[in-house]
Amino acid sequence: MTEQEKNKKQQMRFIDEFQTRINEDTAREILSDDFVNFSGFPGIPNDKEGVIQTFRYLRSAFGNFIATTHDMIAENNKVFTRKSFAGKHIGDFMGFPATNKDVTINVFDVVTYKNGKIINHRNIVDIAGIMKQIGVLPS
Amino acid sequence: MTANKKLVSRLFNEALNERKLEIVEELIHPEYVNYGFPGSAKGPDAFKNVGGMFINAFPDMKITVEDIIEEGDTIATYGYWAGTHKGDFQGLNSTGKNVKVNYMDVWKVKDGKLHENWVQMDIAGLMHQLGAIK
Repeated sequence: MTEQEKNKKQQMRFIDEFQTRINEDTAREILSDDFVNFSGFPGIPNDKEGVIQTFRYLRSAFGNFIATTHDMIAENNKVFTRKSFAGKHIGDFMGFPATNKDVTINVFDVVTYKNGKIINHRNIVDIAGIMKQIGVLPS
Repeated sequence: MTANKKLVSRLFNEALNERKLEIVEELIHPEYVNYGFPGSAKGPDAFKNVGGMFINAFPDMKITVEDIIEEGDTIATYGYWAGTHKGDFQGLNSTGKNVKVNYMDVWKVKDGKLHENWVQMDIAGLMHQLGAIK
């Protein structure tokens, strides 16, 4: 298995076991201790524990939170993923109370691996798309 | 640089940054589709229309590609674009504000040209910088 295949396999585990199935031990295993988040959520630390806090927050806002991977490619030590999260808006999200609407959140992200662990992350989340789906912005 | 990376690099640097939209046909497949564009427009003209819309709204727009990741027929890039809001953008009149907007995108290559495309940019951040949302 090439380095890139190993990194993609780890990334799939991160998405399936942590982001969808809420196994925080998988996140603690795969994220390096000196992990840095270049796209941290406002008000949440940009470190390893901040990632776990972010997903606890997202799950409090969106129920039945499930990730679907549409594309994943790797080159050198980076893995790019195009994915979406589906969930029901059941709690406060960025100050907007629950609407019980089903929401799809499009996310692109790039992580860097070193020795099988993620050392940094950046993403673009379609926040405007979420706001349209919960009726805060015009669609 | 690989042939596929060169397609994307030329699209950003020559077609958009150097405003040579006439080379878009060399790079974009006749059946090109962008899954984020409004309506069902396809092909090089659809790309030119959207590129032109941004250039009209931000005449000094410059895109900086920070990295390109390639595997098989798929390419992903990320970076940011910056510019001054001098023309109408999605119904917002010129504000004269300087903006910087992060983006990521994905491309699929077919027949040596860019065929499919997904783009995410920080639209909420852009609207915030333009003062359109809190």
